[in-house]
Amino acid sequence: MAGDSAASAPGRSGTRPERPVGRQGADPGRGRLFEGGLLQGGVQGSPVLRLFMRWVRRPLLPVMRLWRRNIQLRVVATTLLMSLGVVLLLGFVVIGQVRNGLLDAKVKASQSQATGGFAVAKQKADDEAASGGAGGATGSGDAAADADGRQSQSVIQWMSDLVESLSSGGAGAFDVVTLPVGDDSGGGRSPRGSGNVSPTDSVPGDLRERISDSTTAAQSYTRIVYKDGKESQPALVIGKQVNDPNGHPYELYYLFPLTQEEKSLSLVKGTLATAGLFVVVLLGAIAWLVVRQVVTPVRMAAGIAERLSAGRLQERMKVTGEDDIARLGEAFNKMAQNLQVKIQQLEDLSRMQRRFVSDVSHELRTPLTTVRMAADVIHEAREDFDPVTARSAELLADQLDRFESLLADLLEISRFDAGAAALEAEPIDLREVVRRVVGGAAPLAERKGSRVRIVGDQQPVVAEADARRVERVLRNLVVNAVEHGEGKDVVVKLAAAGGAVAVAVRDYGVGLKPGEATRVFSRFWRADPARARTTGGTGLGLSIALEDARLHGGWLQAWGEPGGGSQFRLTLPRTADEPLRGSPIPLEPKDSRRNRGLAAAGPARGGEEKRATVPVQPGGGQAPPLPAHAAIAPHLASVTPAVDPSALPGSGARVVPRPTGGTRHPGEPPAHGPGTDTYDARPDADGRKDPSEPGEAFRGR
Amino acid sequence: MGVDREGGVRHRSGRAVVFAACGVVLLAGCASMPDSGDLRNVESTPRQDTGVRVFAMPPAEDAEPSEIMQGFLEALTSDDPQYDTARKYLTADAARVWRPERSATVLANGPSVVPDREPAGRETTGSLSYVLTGSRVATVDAQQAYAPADGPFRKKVHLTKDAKSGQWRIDSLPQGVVMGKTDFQRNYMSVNKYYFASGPTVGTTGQPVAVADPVFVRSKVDAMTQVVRSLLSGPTHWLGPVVRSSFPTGTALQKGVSGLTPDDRNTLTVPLNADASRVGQAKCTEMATQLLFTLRNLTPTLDSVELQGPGGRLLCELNEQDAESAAWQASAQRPQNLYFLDGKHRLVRLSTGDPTPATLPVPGPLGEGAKELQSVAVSRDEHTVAGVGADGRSLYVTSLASGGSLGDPVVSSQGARPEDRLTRPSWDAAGDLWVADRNPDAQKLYVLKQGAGKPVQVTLPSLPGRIQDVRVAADGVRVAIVVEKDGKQSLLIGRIENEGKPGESPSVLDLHSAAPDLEQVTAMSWAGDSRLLVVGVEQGGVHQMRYVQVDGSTIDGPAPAALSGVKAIAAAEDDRVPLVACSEDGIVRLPSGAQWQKVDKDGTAPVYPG
Amino acid sequence: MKGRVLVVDDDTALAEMLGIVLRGEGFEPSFVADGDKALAAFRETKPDLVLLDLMLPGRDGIEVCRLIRAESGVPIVMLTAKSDTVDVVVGLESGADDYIVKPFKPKELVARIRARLRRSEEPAPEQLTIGDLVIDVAGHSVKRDGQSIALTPLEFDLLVALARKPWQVFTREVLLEQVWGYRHAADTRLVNVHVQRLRSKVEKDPERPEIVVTVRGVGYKAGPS
Repeated sequence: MAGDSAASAPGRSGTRPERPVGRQGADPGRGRLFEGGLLQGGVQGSPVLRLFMRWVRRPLLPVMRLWRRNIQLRVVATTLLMSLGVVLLLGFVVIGQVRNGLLDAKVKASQSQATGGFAVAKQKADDEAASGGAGGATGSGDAAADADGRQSQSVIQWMSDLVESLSSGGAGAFDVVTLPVGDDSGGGRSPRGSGNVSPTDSVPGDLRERISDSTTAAQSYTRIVYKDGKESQPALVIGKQVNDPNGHPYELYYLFPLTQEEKSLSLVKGTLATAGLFVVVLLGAIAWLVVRQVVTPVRMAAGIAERLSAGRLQERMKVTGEDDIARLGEAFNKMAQNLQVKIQQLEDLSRMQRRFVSDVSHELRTPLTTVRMAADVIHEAREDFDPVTARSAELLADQLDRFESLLADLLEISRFDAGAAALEAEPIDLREVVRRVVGGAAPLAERKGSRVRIVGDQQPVVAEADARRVERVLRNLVVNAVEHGEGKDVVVKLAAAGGAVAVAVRDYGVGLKPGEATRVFSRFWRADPARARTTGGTGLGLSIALEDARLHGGWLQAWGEPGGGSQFRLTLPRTADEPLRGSPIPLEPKDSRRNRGLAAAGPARGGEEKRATVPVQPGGGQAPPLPAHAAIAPHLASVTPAVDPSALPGSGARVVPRPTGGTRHPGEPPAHGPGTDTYDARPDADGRKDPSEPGEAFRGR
Repeated sequence: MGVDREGGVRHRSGRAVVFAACGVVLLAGCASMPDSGDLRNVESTPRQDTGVRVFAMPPAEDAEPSEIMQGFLEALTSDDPQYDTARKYLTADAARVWRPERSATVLANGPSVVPDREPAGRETTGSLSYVLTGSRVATVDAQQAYAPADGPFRKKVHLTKDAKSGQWRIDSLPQGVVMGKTDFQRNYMSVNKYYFASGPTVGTTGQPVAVADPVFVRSKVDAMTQVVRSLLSGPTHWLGPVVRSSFPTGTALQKGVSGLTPDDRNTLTVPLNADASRVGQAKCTEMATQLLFTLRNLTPTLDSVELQGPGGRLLCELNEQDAESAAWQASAQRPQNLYFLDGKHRLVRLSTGDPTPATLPVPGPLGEGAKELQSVAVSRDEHTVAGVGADGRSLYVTSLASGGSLGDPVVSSQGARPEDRLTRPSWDAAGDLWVADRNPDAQKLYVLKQGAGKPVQVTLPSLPGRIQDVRVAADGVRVAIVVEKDGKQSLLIGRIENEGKPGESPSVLDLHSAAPDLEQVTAMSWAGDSRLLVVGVEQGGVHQMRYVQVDGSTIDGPAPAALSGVKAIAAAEDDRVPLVACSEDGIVRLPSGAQWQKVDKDGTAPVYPG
Repeated sequence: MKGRVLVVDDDTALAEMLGIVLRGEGFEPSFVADGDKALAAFRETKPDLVLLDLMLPGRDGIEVCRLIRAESGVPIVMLTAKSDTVDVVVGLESGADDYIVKPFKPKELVARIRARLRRSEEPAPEQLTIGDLVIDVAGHSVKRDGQSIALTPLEFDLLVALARKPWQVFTREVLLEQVWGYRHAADTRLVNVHVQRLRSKVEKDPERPEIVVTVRGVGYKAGPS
């Protein structure tokens, strides 16, 4: 572990990279589409609408999640949709073809039938006209002789007979209708129809117009309406204008019901629908099966990869056959094998190293103990020595102390590095720990002239934690705060909320420069090289504290502003193994100069506070500690010049736009913006170059 | 492990093969036409009615007088229930007076419209006359009774032009409707109303005997309601004196009832007015019987009728079986045996239900060939047989039981020639035996009550010729007589009135022709409640067999298959029983749906009981 | 005050230095450098306390500890260079009463030794009961139904501390202070291990303790008597 990477180490292997709280779905493509569109509620309008959208969205969310995560579902659904489309298209084409074919045949047969019928009607009229005159002459003696008599020849019965004889040939295959030429009651004729057909309703008006205007036959499609309540049905109608025995024209229509054709068509439809349904269902099933064949090994690989990453290195895929899947499995197994070997090697190495460290410690400690005891004895007896020797004895004892603590810290950190640190968590009340720590730090504080106050200890703050480690962390923080507090008060704040507990140690000393918030956790890092040695300390305290926090699954984070003091916050999950989602205490204290300035400027930017309470967890990347911010920062920098360029990638510091919004370069003296007026009254006495930018760091697991 | 899995795979593949085989078998079953399967009922789809309908149209604006006439006549042939459309061609006064239901005149070729020559011009006076002419075929009176008619038809129709609207309308016209013969056949149908014979009852059971009274109703205008109304209004004039109706006087359908139709259970509910609700259960059953008999020849599927009084009260209910026990109907009786004389003049019989008939000797003296016979008649209960000797001189009545003796002749004829002597005897349902003596000097019709006792002479009206054949109907109130004059025969139907007083002889009244178009009638037999089967010759035609209705109307439907040289025929009232004829080929019979079959080469005189 | 201390350590320099310090404090140290000879030396010198290095040539320190503990209840303080939990717990489980991690200050060592030796100077006649146990404080005996149960002095002290105030719940820190004599916070593993050992001796069913009851999140208390 080098340099800055002490901050924000990756999450424990095996768990997914943390996602930003409050935002589900890491998939940047489709996920954003859904979320940005329907799911995220792109509707910014009325609250009612938004409520409705939420109500609609809620039951859909699991489905959407399943959709996003299940490739099998996607493939099957797509197959179903596409095959449905194909089947529909095919069905329409086939039905259209069949319909045309059926109609063609029907039309041909009907036309020949109707043409024959028209000829018969004409023939009968001619015959009747010929014989009617003669018959009339013999039958009804007086009337037939003159022209009028012939004209008024009774065609009522004749026409009914004609319709009957024409329709009786059809036996239900068609119906015959006569209509007078012109309107319905033209010439005193009544319409006639066989088979209960309603003549005027069944023959379309435009066909009638055509027939009455010309003497050629014409056809059309219509719907036969029946008088006796029978259901109407589609039909082909062919009509022609024919003369009756008296030479008066009338319209003769043949109506061919398309019942059979419709039945055939519906049979075809039914067949196609059934077949289509089967095809769609079967295709779906086939797709499901096929995808399953592919997906099952993939899922198995995923599961085994997960188990591998969880540390069960002996897991292997089952490989059968020689296909691509088998090759995948083989490659996978080979990879796992290599991984296992490598990890084995590493583990061996690590074990060796631990062993070495342990041995070294023993070997080193035993003589050190002797030396220490000897030095103590000498130190006890220094009053009997000459001043030079006495001073030497004092130095010897002091430096032995330092050597000892350095050695202890080194060993501790090497234990962390070797992964040998074990957590012994049990429920503890952090107030006890804090009181102990504060009590322990009291002499130092007294010496420094500062007071350590505890805030938020009215209620128990219980968490599952390793008391020894937590105490070590807090002792470190409190001692640091007292030492850098410049005699001002140190506030230790406790809080618990939402599955997390936090202890924040706030001082009002020199604070931290931008970027330092990250670096404080680096090993052997010192804020002020010129000063540090005087206060002692090994330079490893915060590193160990960070490791301790991380061991708990907690966070240790630092915030500071130059001249405004700093705050270190330890956040621990209330129960071990529970991932942290936020901290009960904001990282940037309320009494930071920036916040106070904001409060003075107006309540407009309340969101800032909230943002701090929900620290963004780093993504999976190892190298840049805060990839999310790192990625956004340059973008922001290029777009909004309000951002301090010193907070660019690598600094790890949270980018905080300046409240004034003016552009400033590092090294430039503070502008005379309105922001400066709102700052704390205390001027930056030590003349730092960048006095007003608060630094903030997010530290954690 | 490897072995285990191997076995598992083999096991599984075996099962897969079995499944596949099952699937193939199933699919093969679906892919071929079935040759076995469940029993299912066949839904009866009524044959589509191809009948022609005329749709009456109201007169057009400014229609010509000739168009008014044409439209009016067309409207008369339409299905318009109350002729409302036809009335639109009339002036208001004429429409009020015109009674289309009064009569229907059937013309051979429909009415021809001839302008009546009047001295006045048409347009100027707004008045015009037309004459409807044609040759009359028949008339249907207000009681819907059909009567054949002939002669020319000529009726005047007068049109006026309405002063206000300027439209031509008919203001004077004959009552009733007029139409052509085929239109009449299309629009009207013959229905038998049933009443009970007022005199005779069935000898053994005492059941009343149902008598058919044919009427014509408009077939497409709520026929069932029409028939019910007609039935309730009583028998036709001709039949009236000899039948009774069980409906109390004044019985009618409740007001506003129309469109009677059987429900899903094939039950017809007939709501009657208060006059019908005061009858007893027995009377009510008779009423229902009349209704059921009547309506069953309109709707054969009808199973039962329910009579309802006012307020929906159920008077009585009657189903088919009840009706058959409540009254005796000839067409519901199925004769068990056909009787005829074999080559050795013995009376033999054969079962009608037997598809491969075998002749059986009849017990009794006639079956033993004790007497050579010319013709026989078996009583309807098949206990007694009457036979006319070979010379036609004497009539014997004897039992069909074995061991009886022939006895003495009960009637004897003194006719000179064999054809001047006794006719073939016939029995009615009451058990009376009827026989005529053809002696031209003393032409007589005898009836023997219960086939025994002293023959009673029946009073006959003056006949248009010599009696040639006599058949009494099963109901005993109608008789069919074939009369010959100048080598031409005609079929007459008469009513038998029995005054009921002891000693008073019955009489035959009101003879009318049942087949006016036949010139010769060689044989005849009752073949239904109001139907006869006749072998005869039409004017200018050849010998043929056909059915005639007792009222003289022609019958729709096919005639029996042609047969030459028919000397005698026998038909039962039940039309499911095969026709039997005596022809050149001996005795032949015609089972329904088949051709003539030979029964006995040498047989003669086939008869069904009756 | 008895002051015989047996120092078992292979490092002669350390042993000598320990000797200097102990003598300076008025103890009578005796030395043995080999684990194999430690038991014999123990029997011979009958020390009041044993200072035992964990890493020894020959017999392991833990083994030696176990052997001594099998013979005697004499207080054993272990010297260890390893502060890892595993090492410490193994040492404590083998019977050591206390441990001290190298490097230590002479004063600290002396304080521990004194704390361990101090208890034997309190012979107050007292009869206590805890559960079905009867404790004779002066007679240094624990009996159940007349049956004597052998406890080391430390275990006895722990039991007595709990039994004296059966209504009180002791945190581990308080127990450390009362029983071990620690002034400031130290390793609570000491308490855990010794409570386990005590339970294994006095409880009928160590899985379901009735004498020494754990109060979750706080510490221990005596079971109902």
